[in-house]
Amino acid sequence: MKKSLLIILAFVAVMGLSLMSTYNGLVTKSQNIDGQWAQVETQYQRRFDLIPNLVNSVKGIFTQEQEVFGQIAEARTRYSGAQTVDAKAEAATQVESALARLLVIVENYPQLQSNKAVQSLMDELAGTENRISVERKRFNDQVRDYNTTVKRFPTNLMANMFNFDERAYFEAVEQAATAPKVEL
Amino acid sequence: MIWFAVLLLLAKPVGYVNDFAEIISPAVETKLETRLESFTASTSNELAVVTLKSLEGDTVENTAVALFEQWGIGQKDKDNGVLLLVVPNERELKIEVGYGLEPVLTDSRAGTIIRDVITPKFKENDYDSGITDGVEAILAVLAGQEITQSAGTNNYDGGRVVLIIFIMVITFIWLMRRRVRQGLPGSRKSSWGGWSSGKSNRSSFGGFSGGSSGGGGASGRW
Repeated sequence: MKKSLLIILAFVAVMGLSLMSTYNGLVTKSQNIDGQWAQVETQYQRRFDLIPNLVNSVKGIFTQEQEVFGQIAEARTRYSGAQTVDAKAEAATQVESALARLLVIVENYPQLQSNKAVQSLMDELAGTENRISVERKRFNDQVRDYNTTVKRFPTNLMANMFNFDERAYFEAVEQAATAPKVEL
Repeated sequence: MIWFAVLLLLAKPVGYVNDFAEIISPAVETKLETRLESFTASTSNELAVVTLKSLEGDTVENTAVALFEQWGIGQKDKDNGVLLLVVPNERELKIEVGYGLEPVLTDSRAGTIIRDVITPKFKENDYDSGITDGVEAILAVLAGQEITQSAGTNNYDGGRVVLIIFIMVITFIWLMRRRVRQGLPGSRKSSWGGWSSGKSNRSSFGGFSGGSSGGGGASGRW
């Protein structure tokens, strides 16, 4: 009688401990994703701060390219007004395609290639874009890791019980991936 | 591309200079290795020079990030590593900067080094000077100096000091080696590790210290 009670107690304790560690594991992974997203946003902010300098340094030279500056300004405003993560991600993608267009334009102006100030801004911009893609890739890797854990047995039972839902990947919009055409 | 990733994972650093594409002459490689070793000893920053034969279809940016992540260049708590990656087949290069050094070695400074210091030499197929001058320019920037076209040759103020340190390090290595193995010349690679460990005759590189990067720096082509 006493022995079987002890066995049951031990079983419950072991179960409790394993549930706890599974739960904590899920919490950690979920937190890591949020942390990584913050990294992505840091880089977005860096880009956001770079834009005014860049635009001011080249605006006077591209008198016929006012359209792209309008697009950049609009996308930038939308980004600063975005409240949710999704809205921010979407606005960031718009900034991205407008900037990609500007980069192509700059590359087509040979006289700008020798302009030190423009060149250094272009370096910063290219570096920032690369940082964004690196941090986003890491974000997606963490989401994949978390989603795999959430879906696998027996963690999935636990995940259902405590509402650990699958997380969404960051998906780059097609437009941003392909180089835009520029008529000059 | 997957195969390449696997190959990349298998590639272990052999020292601060990893000339997998075999474009650096042995004499320059030894000199660079010693230079970078003493640089790490005095600043704790880690600069890795890597040449790869080909990118195998990936971009130089992705390759640099993957390599940096795999090797962990820089101290773990400081992220003070820099990677200079040169790929002769695609004629592309990248300076990948650890998080901790981004404020000093900015993207635009990295871009200037690539454009004004390294690629002009590479265009003349002079990899030795291109890489040496590039490394010296990176070290100068990290020491807070402005970039000059010829930062590599002893034109800057610290040149004499560097030379003295260099001679001291060489003498030190020589003394250590003499004590450890009584005159056996040994291979070039085994001179690495001989002094950082002192007592053991380790012939392999101890590895980098776990730093990370996030795509900062600049890339270029020649």
